[in-house]
Amino acid sequence: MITVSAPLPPPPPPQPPVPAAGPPASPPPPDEGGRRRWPTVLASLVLLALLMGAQSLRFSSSVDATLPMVASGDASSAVDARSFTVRVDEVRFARAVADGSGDAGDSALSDFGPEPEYFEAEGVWMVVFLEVTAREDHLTRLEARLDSGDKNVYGATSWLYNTFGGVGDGFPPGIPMRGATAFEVPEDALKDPVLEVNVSTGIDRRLSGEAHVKLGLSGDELKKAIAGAEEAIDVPEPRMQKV
Amino acid sequence: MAHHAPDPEEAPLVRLPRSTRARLAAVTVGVLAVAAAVAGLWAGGGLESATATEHRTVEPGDEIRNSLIELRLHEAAFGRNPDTGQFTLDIRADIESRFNEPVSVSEIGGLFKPRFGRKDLAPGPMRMALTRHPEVTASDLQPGMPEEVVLSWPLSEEDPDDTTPKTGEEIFGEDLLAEPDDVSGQIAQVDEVEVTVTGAKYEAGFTDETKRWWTDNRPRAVVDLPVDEE
Repeated sequence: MITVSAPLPPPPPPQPPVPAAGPPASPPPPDEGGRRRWPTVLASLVLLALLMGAQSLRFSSSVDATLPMVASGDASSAVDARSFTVRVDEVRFARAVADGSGDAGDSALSDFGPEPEYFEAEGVWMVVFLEVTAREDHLTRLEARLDSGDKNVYGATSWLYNTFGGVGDGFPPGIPMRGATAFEVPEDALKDPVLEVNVSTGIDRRLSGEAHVKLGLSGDELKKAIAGAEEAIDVPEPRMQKV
Repeated sequence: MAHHAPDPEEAPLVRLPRSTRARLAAVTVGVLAVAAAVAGLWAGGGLESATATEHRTVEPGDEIRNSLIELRLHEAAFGRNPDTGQFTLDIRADIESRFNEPVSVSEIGGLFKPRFGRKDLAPGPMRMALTRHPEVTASDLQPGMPEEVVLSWPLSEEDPDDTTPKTGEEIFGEDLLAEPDDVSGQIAQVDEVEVTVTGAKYEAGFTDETKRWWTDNRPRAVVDLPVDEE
């Protein structure tokens, strides 16, 4: 005899109406009821498992559901992050950085400005020059981080006025802005660095666009670039580019 | 045919005594046992783990560690902001983040509670400057980069343990742009600061649900630092 444990005995199956043309339904043999429950139980278990699987696909919190939307790419071309595009133009390493005074020869005022203050790195400065173009909305806040490709994520420096990330940022739609962001990192920290750029309206980052740009620097090439770091880089102000 | 209904003949796990008096006695014994267990738990300090509230008094320069930072507090001094005239408590320290992402200084500030043993001298929000670049305020501590820093708290004439929230009038009233409190009198009488460093936890906030570091309000170490007046 086959026993199936279920909490309650099932009600007697309703008698199906006898089709007029069909042959009269013969009553099932006594054992048939137990045997027929197997597929039902199996199907129920499968459905339960599917339900639980589907449940785990849901975002567990509103934060996860509204995280920035990430688009990945590499430095060879512009990365489209839906609300903006970013193109990495150049990556340079230096022992010190300072706010550049713009086109020194051009500006009559540059002679009167304060001497630039150089920040020496404990390690090395990695300065990434990039061009950001907002797509439809005027975006106001850029946050950049550098995933070392090893174990740490570094934040962009806030010591320079000229780097992206300040309160003065503005990205008018359709107009490319060229500027830089700088990271101070230990010399041996980088392995296969990825630049993470989030540009938002500044109110919050929910559902904003974020681009992860693989810089394509690793191995000996990276070591050589760091060993040959420049003495200092004067970081220029962000500038609108002609379209 | 399969059996599904509980068999009335099946033996129950626990058989209650038949007589009412015996049942009453059993219930009484049970209730008393539970009451004694709860009372014992209460007397022993509850279910909180003993190590969680354990802290030690450490000497200046000794290592302090929680889940976010490794730290050594070296020396303390009173200072004064040359621009605003605000009196400050400055502590020189070695600090390293144990997290693998940048940590905001405001999150680290919550882990420190400096106290002067007075009701009229309270520290404000902590700021941090790296000694290698003292001219700029540090906003983050980067991973894997040990730093020598000066931790700095503005001082005001308030009760440090007064937790009543300030009214809008108090915050935005005419005192907003007033001179900072002159606490020179209190400072002159203080020659030691007791700094409590608490544990840290990485959790979601209540209104802003993104995760960040918070104090767990459990002292991990207490350091008594002599204070010089600069």
